[in-house]
Amino acid sequence: MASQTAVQCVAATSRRIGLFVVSLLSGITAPISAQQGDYVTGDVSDGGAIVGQVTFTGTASTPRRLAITIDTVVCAREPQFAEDLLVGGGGGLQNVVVWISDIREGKAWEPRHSPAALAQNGCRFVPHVLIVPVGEQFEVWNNDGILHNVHTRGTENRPVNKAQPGFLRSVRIRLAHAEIVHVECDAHNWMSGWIAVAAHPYYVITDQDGNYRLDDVPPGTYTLQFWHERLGTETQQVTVTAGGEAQVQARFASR
Amino acid sequence: MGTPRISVLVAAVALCVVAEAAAQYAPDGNLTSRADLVRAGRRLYLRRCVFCHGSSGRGDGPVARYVFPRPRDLTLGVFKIHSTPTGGLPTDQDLFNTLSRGLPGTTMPAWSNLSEQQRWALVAYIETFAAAFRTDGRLVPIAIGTPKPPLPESVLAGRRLYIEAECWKCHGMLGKGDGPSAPTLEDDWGYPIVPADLRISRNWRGGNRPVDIYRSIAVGIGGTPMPSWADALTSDQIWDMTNYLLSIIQQ
Repeated sequence: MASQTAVQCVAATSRRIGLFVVSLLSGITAPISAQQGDYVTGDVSDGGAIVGQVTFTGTASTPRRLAITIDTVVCAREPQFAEDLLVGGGGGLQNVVVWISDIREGKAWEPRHSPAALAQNGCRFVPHVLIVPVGEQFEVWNNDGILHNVHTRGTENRPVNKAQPGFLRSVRIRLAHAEIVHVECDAHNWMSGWIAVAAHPYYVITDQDGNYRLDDVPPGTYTLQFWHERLGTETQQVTVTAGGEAQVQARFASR
Repeated sequence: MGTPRISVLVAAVALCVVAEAAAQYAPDGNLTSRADLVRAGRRLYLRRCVFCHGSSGRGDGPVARYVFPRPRDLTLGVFKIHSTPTGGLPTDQDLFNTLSRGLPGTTMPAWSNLSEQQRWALVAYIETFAAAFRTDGRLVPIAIGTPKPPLPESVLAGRRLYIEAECWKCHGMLGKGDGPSAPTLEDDWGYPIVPADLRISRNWRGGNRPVDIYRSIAVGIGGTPMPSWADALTSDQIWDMTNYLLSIIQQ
């Protein structure tokens, strides 16, 4: 096991040197889209955890109220507010996607009985950010009984645009490349959601107080990525020890 | 303010005229390999297409700012007209057809004055702009089947579906393109876009034959808010809708 860890560490370090050289050459400090395709699953018996809080250091104004212009009977039952910057207790930043961007080996996805699902509910996407395993079908539900459409926009994945009239409760979509994709409904232009197409299970979304936790991480040194829809990305290094709990905090400033 | 714009336009028009004259005398040559085709396509592109679509294919040629809708950015491989399911690249034949027919209702003209070989050369060159043509698998066109006769019951069923499926939300109750969602629509690049006035057949971007209308409903219009209805409607229902839409065309 020790030799395996050493091999992982050497591999991880050489990858990082490679990444560093690439980033020097390209002038980019961190790749935004996750790598994929070469992730190997196995049992993680001596894993550690990565825990922390993501905070917002700027001044958060009250979320702006959305102008609901059409379908008010369904969409304006209660006031709607923008979800693009939600700051909770202690400046905690909600809906940040946190993931290990350079993990090559680790746990498998937990088996699930039904596909990951995003609901169009009261003319909002619920949840606002959804994690979906790369290459797997996920469902979009229409709980509103009126016409919606599901329009994805990414950079690696080609745009998909499916009509979802009131009588079509569920449509299925598959995205083949790991990246964070915007989801919109053109019929209701205020609707906005995000799909984190995940290359592996080490992805998590911060809760309303900005907290997150990643479990069963094989010991090693990793790059942790933080993405927020308005505030951009942050990168941190983390070393995970067997059975240990690594603390990684991240801060986002206004931009 | 007005003068530079006009001079740019004049210059562009002059360039187009010169290019037109030059292209008249360009021999087709004998194109045997794909590389030959791409080279020939590039020469044609630089004479014919660059003013709108730009030398890098980003849809940012010198006159791009003055045309509506904006010229397509070719580097993303997202095209309005495709016979493949939503998210699929267009087939070579799709691009050839778009070049040959143009996009009615936009500034994209029909290039039917070019020889077939020249059009295929342009298709080969245009496909070099987007990496997706090299990296993504090509999907096969959707099955269209035989048209359903435009009998009154089919037209009426289509009319009911138009209401029930809320096509009117963008296209309006009479198909004029004035539905409640129409004013807020944007294309995939964030530029404003309007739904087609369906009563005017030349507005049908993908063509106005029954099979063209069927295809536009089934797969949508790439890069625009018009979605694919393949998951929502049966083939029979799409034919009903097609027959209804054919019935409201006025000119």
